[in-house]
Amino acid sequence: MTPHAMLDMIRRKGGARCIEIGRQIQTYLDGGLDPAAAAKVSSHLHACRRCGLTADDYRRLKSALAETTAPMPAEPLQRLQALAAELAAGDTPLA
Amino acid sequence: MSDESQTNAASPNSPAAGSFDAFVGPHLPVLLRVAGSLCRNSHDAEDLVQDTLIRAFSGLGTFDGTYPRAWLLTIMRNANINRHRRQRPGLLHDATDLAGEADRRNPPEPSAEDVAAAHTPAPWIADALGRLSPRHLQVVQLVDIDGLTYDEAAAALGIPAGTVTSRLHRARHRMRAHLNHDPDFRSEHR
Repeated sequence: MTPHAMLDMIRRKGGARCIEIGRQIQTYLDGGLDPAAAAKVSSHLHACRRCGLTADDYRRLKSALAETTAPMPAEPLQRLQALAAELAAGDTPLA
Repeated sequence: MSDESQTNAASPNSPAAGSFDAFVGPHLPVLLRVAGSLCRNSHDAEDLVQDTLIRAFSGLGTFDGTYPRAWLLTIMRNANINRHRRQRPGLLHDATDLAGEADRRNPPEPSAEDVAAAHTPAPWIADALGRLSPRHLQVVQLVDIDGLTYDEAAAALGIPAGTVTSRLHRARHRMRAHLNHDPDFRSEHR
């Protein structure tokens, strides 16, 4: 198969072009596409194994990064909330 | 007085000063987390959020009531710039120090070690983070780790949202390309 024929075959899968969809996968996973565009990407990801696996990679990467968020210590938050309350009550003079 | 209150007209939709604590309370965890990303140590991060709260309270009358988190993050960015100016006053008027000026205009960027130490990620994630440039690492930290939207990260960094998007997508693309060769990533994935 010639490179051109291979590219044409890839582009026909799922009714949309893999290259075009590939540019939108991250925005799609971040919820940044309008409903019509999101539906088009979703349809392609179900039909095209290659693009579906790419999306799975990004999902796993995003999930792993989100899981690295450290727990927030309580004390600094309590001090900051107290400062906000003092400001609201007019107890803290502004410089 | 804050920069914001000096430059904007008073808004009729601004929150009441007496409810300031209720207004900012839900945003404090995110502010402290982002400050930690900008400052590298917890003491400076808390100081920066304190400074941000005082500036926000001073400028409350000019806030239009929309996108409070982005508004607070913009104030935090300005406060962070001023803190760096105070720490390096001798360089402020040196027109030849373009690199220094650029450094002051942008928050300090974390190293991969800073991110790893703060968040103790899995080894394969730490390795992939370590291969990113500081600018790419910064947007990954703010969006994918700290949980900001593109617009909020743009406010925190003082750059267009489109730049956040392009940096973030490129960073993830590079991480994925690296992780494709990582057996730990592959073994749990396919």
